[in-house]
Amino acid sequence: MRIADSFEGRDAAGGEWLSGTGLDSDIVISSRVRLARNVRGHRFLIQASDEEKSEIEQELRAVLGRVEFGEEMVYLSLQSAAALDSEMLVERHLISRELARAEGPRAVCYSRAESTSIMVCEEDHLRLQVLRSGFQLDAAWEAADRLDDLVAKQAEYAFSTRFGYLTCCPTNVGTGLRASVMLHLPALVYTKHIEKVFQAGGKMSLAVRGLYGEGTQAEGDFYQISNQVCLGVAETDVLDRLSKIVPQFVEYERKVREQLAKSDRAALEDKVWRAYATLRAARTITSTETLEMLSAIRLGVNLELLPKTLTIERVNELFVSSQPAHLQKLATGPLEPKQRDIARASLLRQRLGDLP
Amino acid sequence: MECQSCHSKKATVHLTEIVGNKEKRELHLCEQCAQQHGTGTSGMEIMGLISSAFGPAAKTAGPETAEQKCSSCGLAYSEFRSRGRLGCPQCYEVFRASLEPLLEKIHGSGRHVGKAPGGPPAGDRSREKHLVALRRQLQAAVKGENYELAAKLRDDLRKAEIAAEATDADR
Repeated sequence: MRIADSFEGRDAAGGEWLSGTGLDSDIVISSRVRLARNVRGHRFLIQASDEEKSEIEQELRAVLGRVEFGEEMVYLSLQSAAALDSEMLVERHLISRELARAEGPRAVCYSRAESTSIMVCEEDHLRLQVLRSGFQLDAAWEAADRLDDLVAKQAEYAFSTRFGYLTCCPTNVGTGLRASVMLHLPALVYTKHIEKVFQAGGKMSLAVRGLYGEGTQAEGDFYQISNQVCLGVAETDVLDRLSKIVPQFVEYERKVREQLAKSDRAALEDKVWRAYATLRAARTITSTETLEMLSAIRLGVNLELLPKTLTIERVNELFVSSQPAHLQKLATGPLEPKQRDIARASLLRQRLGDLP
Repeated sequence: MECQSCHSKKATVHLTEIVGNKEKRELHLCEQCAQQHGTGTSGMEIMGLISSAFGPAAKTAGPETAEQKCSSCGLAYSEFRSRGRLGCPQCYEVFRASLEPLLEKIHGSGRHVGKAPGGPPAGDRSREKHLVALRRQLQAAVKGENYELAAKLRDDLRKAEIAAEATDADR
């Protein structure tokens, strides 16, 4: 593990999980498994003094330093990192917004490929997270399970046989597992069938949320589906449940796409090509409009309506690189919202300009 | 008064909701969290669950009084109720009597099934599998309206759970 003092992303493009590979990657952007863990002998962070928080962070830094990850990991203290770096990490789904905006000792330990990240001193002492491109929940779970075992060799977790892994919030106690898949469902949104996804999710005790998780809006037609129950259900059963319902949503979205392409082709092509033209020509564009337009061209790429040289990977990456912190990093300085809209339009023209 | 959701900003929005049996639930939020509340964040759902679990029925469920404190971290029971967060691992034992019905309400279960640090010893693994199998059979029997079998399975399950708990206590 290497200690860094600023965020060193793979490149501006984003992590491996954006590669657009993996099962059903036309609709499933990514699969994520998160495990909440706390170590014995310390209070949860909400109740810890500043001194104890500092002790916890140092102890965990040493613990992670001893773990044999088998891949290159970077440890970044978020207390000393620039705010812009923290925001970039949020936009890349490596840390939560809460961790970025918190105060005091806290850190992230992430792999160079950005498919593994460990949040230190978030709500729980440790939040282990594994991300995979496409529908690969099982692979994500296997990697997270292994990572968890490796960390458990170096630290003693707070665990009770009755309640399982003990967490600060009683909604996470038990397995501490949150498994989620991020779906791109533009056709269901467009035809107003999306409510049915919410209803079906609710019936299966699954949560349906927006792009950046809890409390965020489903911008760009992205929806995260995750389990809510952590106690009394084994990890594999949680994954089974998701693995059963997600393909149904995928199939549903595909059917509606096919129908649209048949019954309303002119309108669909118009929507996709207008979005393509807007992104290639705009001189100023907000992040909301960008997400909307990118969602339309992502659909267009999947339905083979747009030039073949425009790949899903390129579109996926634009969802990240057009976000505010990424734009400011590129501009090497802070930008006012108006300036950001201009910089965003310029980036999009540049990234899409070489296409026919 | 601080916001009950983010605990950092001042609460400027005060909501009173009537839940279930005319039970009143008060929420004090900052503007930002109140907006999120409108879209139904799970944080607020948790608060809702906690206050409903601590409703009239909960009064008899646990011996905790508002001022009882966790000897390990100092968290008062009233603080847990208002924040919905525990202070340390020990809190789970200290406030156990009140937590059990709450966990039932949130998860539909009060007992961990699944992984343990370092993987469970072989005996535990098979015991756990046995419990899971019994619970599944019970669910199937109830669903199939085979109540005679369900009653037997419920007894078996209860015995197995008591045995499992006794082994846990010995550790």
